[in-house]
Amino acid sequence: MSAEDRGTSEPEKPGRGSRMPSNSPFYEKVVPALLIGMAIIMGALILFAAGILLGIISF
Amino acid sequence: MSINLILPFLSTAIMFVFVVLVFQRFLARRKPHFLFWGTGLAMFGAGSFAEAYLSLAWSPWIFFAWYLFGAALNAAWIGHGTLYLLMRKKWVHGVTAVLILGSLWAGYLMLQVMPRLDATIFTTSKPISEQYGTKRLEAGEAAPPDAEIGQVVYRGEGVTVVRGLLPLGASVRLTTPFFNIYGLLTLVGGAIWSAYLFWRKRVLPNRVIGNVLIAAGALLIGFASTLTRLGYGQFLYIGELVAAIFMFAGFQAAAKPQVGESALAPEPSGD
Repeated sequence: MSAEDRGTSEPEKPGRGSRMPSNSPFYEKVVPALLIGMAIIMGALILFAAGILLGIISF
Repeated sequence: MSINLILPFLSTAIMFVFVVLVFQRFLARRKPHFLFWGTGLAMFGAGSFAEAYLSLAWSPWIFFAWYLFGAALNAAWIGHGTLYLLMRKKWVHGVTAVLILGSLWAGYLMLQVMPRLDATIFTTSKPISEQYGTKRLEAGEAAPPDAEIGQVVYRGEGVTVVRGLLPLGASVRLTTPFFNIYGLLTLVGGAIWSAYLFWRKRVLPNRVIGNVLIAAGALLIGFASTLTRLGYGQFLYIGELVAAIFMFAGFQAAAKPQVGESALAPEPSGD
């Protein structure tokens, strides 16, 4: 699932809380590492499921 | 009462609240992604409830709901909602038609297999995901210690199997990887992609965190199911509960309104 969309189109200046904190190690290091890690795990799970489908992995 | 009996009911309760919230949004905004998310989450909830029920007693129709909604369809339907949100193009309607027809076909195959279920091997002492499939044993292959071994005729040939509720070669099982691959790509891939778009623009941290939690929750379910099938079923119920909490928390975080966010959201890739 993803974030829900918003209905309006009026441009506004970003408000408080709508921008990432600058120089935050969490957003600069942890979040990208999590995204890359999860993408790798997702790829591995897809390959696993494809292996079952193709009969390469017996389940 | 064992903690393992309570956990699936807790997951079901969380999913019920989640489904109500998502359908409320659909009724308020009439956007198709809410409809698909709500339907997929309702399927997830039905699967959790069926799993909880089957840890107490046997019912063939509860098993029907568990396999069709819990094991096969739910991730694909939730993920399809994400596809509707991210790709507002006409071809998505074609994918919708394929998803609906595929789901009906899987339901038909499941109905066909119902008279052939082997309920004599059912036990409440193991999670249902450890006992649903009949697995062929190759020559020299060792069976798991507590497995029920049997002989069946398959395609005119006598074969040794680890007995399961569904018969060997049940066609409905062939449909499951298709739905799960599609669900993984759209649900997890869509959440990772959304988080990346917001992260790249350095905006809306709530949506970055929300989508990370949603992706992590969906991956946890995949992990817990895979571990169960590899013989580590003790992690299944806690994995599902944590997954339900992560996805619910992720949805709440992502949906939290922020000042000025309308101008900052990633553009969908179509009209």
